[in-house]
Amino acid sequence: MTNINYRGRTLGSDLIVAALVSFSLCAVPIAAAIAPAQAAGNVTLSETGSTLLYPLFQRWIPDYAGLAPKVSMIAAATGSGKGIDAAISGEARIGASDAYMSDEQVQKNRGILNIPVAIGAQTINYNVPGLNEAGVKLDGPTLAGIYGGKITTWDAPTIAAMNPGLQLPHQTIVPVRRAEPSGDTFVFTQFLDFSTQTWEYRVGFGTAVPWPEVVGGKTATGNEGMVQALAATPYAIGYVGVSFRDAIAKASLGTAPLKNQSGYFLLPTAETISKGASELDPRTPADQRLTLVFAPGEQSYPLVNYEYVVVAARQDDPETAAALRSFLLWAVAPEGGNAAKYLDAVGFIPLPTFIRALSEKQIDLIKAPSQSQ
Amino acid sequence: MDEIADASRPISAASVSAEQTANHKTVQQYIDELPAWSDGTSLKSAPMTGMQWRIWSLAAAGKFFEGYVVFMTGVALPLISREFHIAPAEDGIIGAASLAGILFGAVLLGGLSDYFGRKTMFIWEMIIFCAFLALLILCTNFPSLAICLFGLGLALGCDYPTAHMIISENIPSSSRGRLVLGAFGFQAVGALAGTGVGCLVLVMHPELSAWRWMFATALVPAIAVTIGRFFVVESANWLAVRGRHARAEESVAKLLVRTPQYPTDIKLVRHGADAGGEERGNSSFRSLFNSRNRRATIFASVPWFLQDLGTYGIGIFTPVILAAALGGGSDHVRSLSDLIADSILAAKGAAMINMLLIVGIIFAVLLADKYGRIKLQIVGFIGCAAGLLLASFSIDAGGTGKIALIFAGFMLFNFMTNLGPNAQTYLLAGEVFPTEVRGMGAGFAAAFAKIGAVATAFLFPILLDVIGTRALLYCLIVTSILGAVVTWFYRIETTGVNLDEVGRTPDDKAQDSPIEKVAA
Repeated sequence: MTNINYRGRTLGSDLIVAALVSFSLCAVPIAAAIAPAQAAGNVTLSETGSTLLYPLFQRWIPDYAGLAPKVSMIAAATGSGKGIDAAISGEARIGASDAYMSDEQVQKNRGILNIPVAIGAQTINYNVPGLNEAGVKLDGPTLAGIYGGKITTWDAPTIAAMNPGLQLPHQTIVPVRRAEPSGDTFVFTQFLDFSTQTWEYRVGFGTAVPWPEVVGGKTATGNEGMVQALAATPYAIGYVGVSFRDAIAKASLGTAPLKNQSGYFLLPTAETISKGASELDPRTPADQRLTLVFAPGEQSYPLVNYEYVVVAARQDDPETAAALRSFLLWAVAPEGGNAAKYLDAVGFIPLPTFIRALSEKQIDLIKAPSQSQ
Repeated sequence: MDEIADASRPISAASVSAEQTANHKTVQQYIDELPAWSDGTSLKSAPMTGMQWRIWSLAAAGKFFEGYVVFMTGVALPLISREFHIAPAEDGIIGAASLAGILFGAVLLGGLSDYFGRKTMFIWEMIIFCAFLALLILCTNFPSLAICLFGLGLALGCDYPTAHMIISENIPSSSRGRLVLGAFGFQAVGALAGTGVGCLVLVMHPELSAWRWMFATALVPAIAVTIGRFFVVESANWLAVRGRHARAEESVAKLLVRTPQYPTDIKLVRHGADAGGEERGNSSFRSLFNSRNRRATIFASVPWFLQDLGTYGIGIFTPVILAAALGGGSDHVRSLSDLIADSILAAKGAAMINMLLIVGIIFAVLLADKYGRIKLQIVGFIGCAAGLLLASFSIDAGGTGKIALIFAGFMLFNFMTNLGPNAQTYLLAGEVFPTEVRGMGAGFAAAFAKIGAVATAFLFPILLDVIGTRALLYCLIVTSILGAVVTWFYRIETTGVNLDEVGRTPDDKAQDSPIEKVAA
């Protein structure tokens, strides 16, 4: 299997449009806290990246501030590509990403770690008036056909065959994709790549891919932008991070049950996401760069991924290194950031014990130069 | 300067008649001659001299590195594909680059050994091999990779005829079959070593760049082999045909250094055709199809082509065999670790197939000079047909019987093809042509077979789709039997035959005249 796009492209900042406004979480309290903390020699940890992880950081930061008052945190939703770039350049201490770094990025940046902090998923959402509650079933080849411009109407024979009994409208499908390099695009295109040979041969997968030209297709920035675009466009279809399920529900969008490797149509639930991940947990390597998409197993939901924080193993000073280690160890702990009260709210599931141990091992590598071997 | 004068100034039989003696012999007669003690007692066999072993070892080493690098490429390709973002659709270009290199190398470079000499091309092919191997280690993108593989293919193609000729023209006729096939077998040994070292590198250095280290392991020994090739003698057989008799006699003398020295006086027969000009030494490509060589061209090329068809056919079952024997790989490559694990699995699969190749070749080495090439090739083709038939029965079978039939058919085919056509077509292609077109002829036969390989690689998937596995296998059974039939009708048995005599008509022999030249 080859991967032209993901491995071939660096996440060029020129392509990145940070349409979701970056802002400080709990802007006033944190901004107010920064000055005295800095004066006292305290640490600021900045985070930027995945719009899918952003809602989780929104929940983590206030609570962690209570536990570590001398550590102030700032989060921003700028897209996974920007998150990885920022972690590599040192612009941010933590880059959040739904995709792990490419081979080239790893080769060029040996000291950058990819650490899963949770397991996430993605949904395929659509806006077909009258059918949003029905759950139009779809599979990888059909989605590849839609995003490749081969399947153009909702009542196309392949869709009709999967959905007997549904009155599908003879309306043109409007495929919506992300405008900026994004982890969601990585997960979605990898599903198409793994399930559809023509997509694998012609397009591949990655945070940004050479999308086939589709008449009437649209782009959206960030998960929030995607939800808005779908809500505003009848007969549109798109892919959205599971942590935006409240926004999806609010917009009354339909969620498609997806066909997995074993041929079963499944919706993302805690069980199906967990099953998809557990099938592949044992194959997770020490550097934890592994895709969970289109996992084997009858009850495995196909669009599952590790949610990563991308951090430099070598930090500027021991205080920052210690603060980063402490925060990340808390983030992956079942009684800490992986507790149900945080993850359930955004549709994520906690890391299994084996994966948590690998994450902790990587977190232990975060040191200041004076602490390095 | 002696030989230049020889080559440019044909000497008529009449002008040398005064020097004629009964002691003049051909190059091969000297090589085949049993050394005799001073009391006239002959040895029971002609022991190989140091120079003969040196030539054989360096040719075998070349074969070793070819197998080593080609099979290592198979192990390395998934890593290379990932590093250079080679799409699955472009994988075909990788294979095509190597095959195109082999095609051009066999026909053009292999044929050049008829003009510039066996030794010259024996050295140049290794220089080309080392140069492109070094570039391969350093290449940074898909086009440079394709160029490097094409270049390695050139060397590989050139070696098909060249390594064969440099061995067969320097060793006794009686052991030619086993020695040529013994060297050929080193390709399989190299392949085994290549996959083994490839695995070892992957385990020790599980990184995307591991493939560069894999190829690097071959470079220094390959350079050593290249240097070694400067220190072999040129084929006296080829020199004699080119009319360079002084150098031919020097070569024979250097080739047959023994203690005590035997033979002491080297006096070569001068072929009559040489006296009439350079016709024997300057044959064109078209001469492969004249009345003198047409039979040899068909005999060397068509069975080799048909053998490649059958090899492709049985290849349909390779994934089933490997999955049954070694387990399946990952469902998708999900991490670098998956990629490396899959590469190791592929290496094990290649090693397993290679073991079958080695077993078959060992039998071929042991039997080629005993039973003759023709018998082995015919029996091998029939065995291949039987193997394909057994495998075809698996289509209707179920459960364990299905796997058992596939295994039985696969094993039988591989054993029989390596004992028979795979080994014998290579051996015969370098033996059935006269010296003056031997390089060209053997190169053409190899290239013709590779054209078949390219065509079948593109056509068979379509045929498989249109007519189905069963019908395709039946077609291949027919082509295997056809291989046996063509072998029989066009047979040229070369077992134990003096290479000097190959392709020579009674008229040629009548024109032969001895010329006395004493080795310096």
